[in-house]
Amino acid sequence: MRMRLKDPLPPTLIGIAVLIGWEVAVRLFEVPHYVLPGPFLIAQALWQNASLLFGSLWITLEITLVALIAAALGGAALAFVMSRARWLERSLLPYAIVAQVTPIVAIAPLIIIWVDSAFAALVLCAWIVAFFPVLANTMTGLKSADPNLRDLFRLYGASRWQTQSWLETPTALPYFFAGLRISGGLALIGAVVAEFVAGTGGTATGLAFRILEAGYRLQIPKLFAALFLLSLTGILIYTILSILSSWALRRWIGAAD
Amino acid sequence: MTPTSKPLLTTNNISRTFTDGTQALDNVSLNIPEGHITTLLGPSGCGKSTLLRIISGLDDASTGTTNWQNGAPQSGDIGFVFQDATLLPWANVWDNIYLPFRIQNTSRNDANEAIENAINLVDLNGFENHHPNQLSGGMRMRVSIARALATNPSVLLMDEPFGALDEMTRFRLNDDLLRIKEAVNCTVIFVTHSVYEAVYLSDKIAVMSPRPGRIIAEKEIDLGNRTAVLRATSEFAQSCGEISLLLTEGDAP
Repeated sequence: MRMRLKDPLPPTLIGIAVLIGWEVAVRLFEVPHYVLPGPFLIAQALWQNASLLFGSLWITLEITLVALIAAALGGAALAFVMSRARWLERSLLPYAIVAQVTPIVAIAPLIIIWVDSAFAALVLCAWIVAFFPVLANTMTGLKSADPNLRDLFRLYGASRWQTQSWLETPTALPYFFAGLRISGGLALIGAVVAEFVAGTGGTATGLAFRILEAGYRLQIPKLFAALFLLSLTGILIYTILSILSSWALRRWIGAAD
Repeated sequence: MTPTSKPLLTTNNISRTFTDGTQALDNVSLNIPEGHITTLLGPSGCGKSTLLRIISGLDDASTGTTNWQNGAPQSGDIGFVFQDATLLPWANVWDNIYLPFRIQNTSRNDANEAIENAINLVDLNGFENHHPNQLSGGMRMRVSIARALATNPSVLLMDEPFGALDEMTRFRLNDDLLRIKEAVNCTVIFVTHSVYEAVYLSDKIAVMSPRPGRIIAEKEIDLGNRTAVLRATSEFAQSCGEISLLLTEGDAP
C-alpha cells in the first residue's frame, strides 16, 4: 500500500546532477534560449512571473481538486449502484467505458460550447477523465470479498445491508484508494487538456493557458517555469493521496498499539 | 462413546448433484450423536465439505433431508470453522468475535461477557486489540474457533480447520479442541483427510468413498484419555491401521 519514497536522497542527487548537466550543456553548446533554456534562466523566469504563474496554478489546482473530489464521490457512488444488481451494471457500465475511451481532446470543445460556465466546463472535462479508475477499482473491490466470509455472514443470517456495509465496503476500500491515486494524476491531465482546448477563450487563465501564451510569444523560459509548476503539482497530489490512503487504511495494515 | 447418546441430527439419504452434473454425494445417511466428536474422513473431493455445508444450511441437498432433534437451528446455533481462519483483516480480535453478535443486533456491552469467555477458552487473553496479521496461523485459527463458540452453538462444524498448519501447531490445537469441547459440552462435526487426526479426536468416524461420496463405514473409537502418549500406543496404531484399510478398500474400483 505504501508507495512513498522512503529515502529521498537518491532521487534528489539524481535531480541535482541532471540540473547541473543541463546547465553545463546549454552553456557549452550555446543552445539558444528559445530552443532550450537552462535551469537558471527558468528559475529566473519563475521568480519574475511568480504572482502571475502562482495565480494560474491556483486556478488549475481548483479545477483539478473539484474534479477529483467529484470523481471520488461519483465513481464510488456509481460503483455502489452498479454492484446492487447485475442488470444495472450491464446497462450503465458501457456508457462509463464510452466516456473513458473517447479522447477528452475530442469532446472538450463540445463541452465548452454546451456548458455556460467556463469553470464548470473545465471541471466536467477533468471529471470525465478522472472518474473511471475509481469506478472500476471500487467495483472490483466490492466483488472481492472472501467467499468464506460471505458464507459466514450468510450463516448468521446477515441482511444485504449488513453484508454490504460490514464486509463488501471495507474490502473495497484499499481498491478505492488505489483507484483514487491514479485519478489524482488523471484529474490534473484532464484539467490541463481542457484548458488547452478552451485556449484563448478569454476566461481561461490556468497554467495550461500560460504555457500556450508563453509558447506563442516564444517566452520559452516562462513556458518551462509553468511546466515545472505543473509537474510539482502532480507529484504533490500523488503524495497527499498516498498519505491519505495510508492513514485511511492503517487498520488494514494493523495498527501498532 | 456411550450407547445411550441420542442423535443431535440425522441426515437421511442426502444426495447432491451440482449444476455442472458432478455428483458430490450419493445417498448419505448418518447419525450425529449429541455431545460427541464425529469425523467425516475421506479423500480430497469426496464431498465431505459439501455434506458439512448442507448440514449448516449453506448449501442445499438435491434430494434427502436433515433432521434436527431439537428443531431447526437459529442464527448462532451453528458454529462454523473454515479451513482458513476467515477473519476480517481490518478488525481486531475482539471485533472479529463480536461479528455474529453484531449481525444479531446485540450491543457490545451485552456481548462482552460471552466474548471474553470465548477468548479465555482459546487462551488468547491480552490479544483482544491485535489485528489478524499480528497473530500466528495457529492463533488466528483459535480466534476463528472463539468466534464460532461465542454464540454458544449446539453444534460446531469444522471443515479441515488445521490442514494448513504445521504438525506441532496441529497437535496443540487438537488438544485445545478436546479441552474446549469438554468445557462447553457441544457436538462437533469435524472434516479431515488425516487418519491420525481423525482417530485422535473422534468418538465416531464416518469413512467416505471417493466422489460421489458415500458412507462406506462408521466406526466408533474408544481409546480413553487423549494425551500425547496415546499417539505412541499400539491401540492407537491399530485403530489408524483399521481406518486406513477401510479407506483403501473404498478407493478400490
